Amino acid sequence: MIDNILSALIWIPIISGLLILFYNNKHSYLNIINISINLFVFILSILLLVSFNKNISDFQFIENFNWIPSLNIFYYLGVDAISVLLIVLNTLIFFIVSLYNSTLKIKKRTHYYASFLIANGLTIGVFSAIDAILFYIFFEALLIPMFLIIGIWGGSNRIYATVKFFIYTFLGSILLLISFIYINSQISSFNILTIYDANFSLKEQEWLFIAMAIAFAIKIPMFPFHTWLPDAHVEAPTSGSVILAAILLKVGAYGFIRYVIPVVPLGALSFDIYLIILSIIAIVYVGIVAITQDDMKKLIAYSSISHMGFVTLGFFIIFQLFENTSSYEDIVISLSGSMYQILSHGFISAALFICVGSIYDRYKTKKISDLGGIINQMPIYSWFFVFFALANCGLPGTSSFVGELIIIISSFKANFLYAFFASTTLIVSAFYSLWLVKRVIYGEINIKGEYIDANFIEKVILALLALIVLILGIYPDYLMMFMNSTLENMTNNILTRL
Amino acid sequence: MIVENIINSLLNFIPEIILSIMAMVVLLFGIFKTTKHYIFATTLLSVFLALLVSIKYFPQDNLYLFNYSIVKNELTEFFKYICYIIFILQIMISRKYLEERKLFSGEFYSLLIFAFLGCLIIISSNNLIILFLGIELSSLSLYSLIALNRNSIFSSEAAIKYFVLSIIASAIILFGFSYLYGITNSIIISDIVAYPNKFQVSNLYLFSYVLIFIGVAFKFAVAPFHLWLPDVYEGAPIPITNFISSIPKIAFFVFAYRFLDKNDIFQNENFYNLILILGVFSIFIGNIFALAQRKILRMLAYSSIANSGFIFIALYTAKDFNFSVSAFYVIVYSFTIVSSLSIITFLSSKKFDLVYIDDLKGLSSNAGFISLLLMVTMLSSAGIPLTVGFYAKYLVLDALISSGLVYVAVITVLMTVVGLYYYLRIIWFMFFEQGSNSLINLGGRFHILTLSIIPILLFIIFLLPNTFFKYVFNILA
Repeated sequence: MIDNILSALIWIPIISGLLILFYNNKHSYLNIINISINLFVFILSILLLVSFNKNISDFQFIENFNWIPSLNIFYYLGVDAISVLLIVLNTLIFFIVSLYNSTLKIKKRTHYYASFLIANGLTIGVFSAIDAILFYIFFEALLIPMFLIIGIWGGSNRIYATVKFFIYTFLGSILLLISFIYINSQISSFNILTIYDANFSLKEQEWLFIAMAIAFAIKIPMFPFHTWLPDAHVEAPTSGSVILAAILLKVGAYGFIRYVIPVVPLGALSFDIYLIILSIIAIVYVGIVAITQDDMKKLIAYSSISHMGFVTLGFFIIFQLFENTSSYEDIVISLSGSMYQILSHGFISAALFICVGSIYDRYKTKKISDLGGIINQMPIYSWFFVFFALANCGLPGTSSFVGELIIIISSFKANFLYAFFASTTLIVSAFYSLWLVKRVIYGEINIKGEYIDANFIEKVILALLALIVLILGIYPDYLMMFMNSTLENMTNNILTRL
Repeated sequence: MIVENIINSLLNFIPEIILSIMAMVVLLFGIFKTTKHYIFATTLLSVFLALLVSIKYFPQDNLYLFNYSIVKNELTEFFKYICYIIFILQIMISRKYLEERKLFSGEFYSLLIFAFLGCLIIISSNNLIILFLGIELSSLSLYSLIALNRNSIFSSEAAIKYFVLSIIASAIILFGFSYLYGITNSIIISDIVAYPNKFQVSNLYLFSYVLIFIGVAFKFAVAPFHLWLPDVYEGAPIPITNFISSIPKIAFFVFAYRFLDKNDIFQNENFYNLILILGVFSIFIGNIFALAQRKILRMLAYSSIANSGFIFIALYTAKDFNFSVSAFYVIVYSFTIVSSLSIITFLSSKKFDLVYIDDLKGLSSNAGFISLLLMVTMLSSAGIPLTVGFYAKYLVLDALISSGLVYVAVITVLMTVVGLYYYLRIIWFMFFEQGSNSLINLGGRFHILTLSIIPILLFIIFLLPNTFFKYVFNILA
């Protein structure tokens, strides 16, 4: 079992997702079945986390099967610390979403659950594939369930949003495919470990970098490629938004650290300044854009883009960092700051979208100007909302503080200007988060009526997320140590090939 | 000796003979009231029989019949089997459509078998004259089949357009043939192909090849020779559209293969660039025009123009590698388009032709399974993973990049992104939009089973492609 745990993690949700389609929509145990499958997958991933040896920097739990010999494509799975953490984040978020879904009224319930289960399996595949084409297949196939989730269960303008989402991502990923094929034509391997050892000329690396960076920059999304995200978030159903923010954006970040920077370090080196500038624009400009939003989901979507700017900043300052300090340690810290930010944003954004979704379910509006004084109607719920809004703006003691602080410190060592602009986020994000709270939670009651406070499942979900955010914020060391040897290995890998 | 040869040839030619006799029997059945009921069953059975016999007479080695006029080997048989499978599926789906429109008749099936026979002859001919006869047999049958629906003005327009343009294409091909005969003094294709390897080639030889491949481009509807295709797709009865979209393409692919394989002329820069340019141009025209279409068949027509462009690009890459990429693309594409056109045939019910893409709105709430099948087909056309279409696109890109044409690969994938939009449009009309399609035909468990064969294959071969790949790569190596 433990040998094939990755395959089990991928295929159990996918197959059960297909089987669940045969159930009747009104089946009484449907919710319980769905939740228990997701719980089982989550427990499996915890098993993976526990049995993972964090002192070994190589890939573990390797499964290698010559899938298509004629095309040189392998069914090659394996995880290192980064992937393990992302897989656990993924299964946890999907478990939470399945809990949340059970409280909702949904049309075509079986289809809805099936889409989520399949997306769950495919995402685990994305995080555990070592073969580049296998990664691409999962990466691309993941679009289909998301396309359906937004398109079928979304809001009024859902078709525009979902088609935009699909075409944008497809445009990026097909450039990725071309890059992979090009790499294969040069070194005749899709195995990521072999690719790490390959030496491409500077020009090749630059072109490969452009193609692959566009693919993942669309997915993350970075500044000029970000326009699909607010649309997709606004139109997606709440659970879809949660997955989009907590998981799908992370796929882009994961792509950068797994397939871009270590594969073409010279290319990354020649373009790093542009990506740093774009990250800073994302942090500052998109943060300011977030302030002006009147739609809560849009506000959080822009805040997500702004936070993901930190992740890419942490990734791309490493070259200048190395130039200034020539210390491996600093680079590892910068990368682990980014990873921390990824995980922390996964939990916080998921919680915020669940909060917004619950408000929408009760008040039937997402407009900030329509709402107000919710604390008088739903005190417990408001407490959570305020907590996560504070976590979103990086309150010390919460997880996002750790990630942002590390990245700001690292960027100080790289260049004062980067740090200066990056730290403006403390003001900007506080501005939009607190102003959101002020207008929605406090103030005068705008919509009168009796509203039910958070129900039991919502309380459980939000308390769980709050607990995780606090633990990660107060005691970050465990995760840092967990990622340490993997990131050291990766740093070595990048720097020796410069 | 000669008698033995002839008997041997005739024995190995039994499948084709069965088809030609049964075509006439079916025609005869159509005349009498009592036998009219058996037309469909007879057609189906005779095609099955021909398939079984041709499996029985599977050639171990290259087999030349009738004094080198017909060649049978693993490759021809492979493509023939694929044609048989596609043809049987098409026949099974066609009946209801034809009966509801009062087109069901002996002539229809008889002509259809003749058209099919023509394609089989194109696949296995090794003689210019037999080859031309095969082309004409299939084209002449198709002219009348397109015009079969006499009440429809579109049908007549399509028939005239197809007739005139196809005749011109045939004439151009014949013109090329005559030059080839003049230069090489032979009508045996394998001799003609071997000619440039032995002797100095004149420009005239190249010229005749260009003429022949312009004719092939006509038949493939590669831009700028594509203008007949949308009208024919729209005007012909849908089962005929279904036929035209797939089987002649496979046949003409083998035609192109026969003329290009192991031929030094393919290393001529002017010639291979011609094929590449036609391919790229076609991808542009097809994808961009398909965006603007509101009628589903015209959209599929332009999408098939784009796909023909891909086939030509794949043919181009065969100059450095081999024809397995293009063969794979042709096969996958044919199955995909047959699947989508069969579903459209099935959905068009009595008094209601599925004409506009708008008609698909809200289909998933009425016919969930059918829309799922159509979705799989569309995803395969767009080349999204979890369907075989992905490998088809992948192989073409791989071959392009390996021959050093990265920029062409980038152009083609950008056009694929454009193409994605109109495939997605069908999916979102079915799944996301609301609409009533009470007129759409929903019955028939048997039909649904037939329709689901190809989409399920598209998915299963995606998961376990290896045997299929090996086979295709082997026979074209």
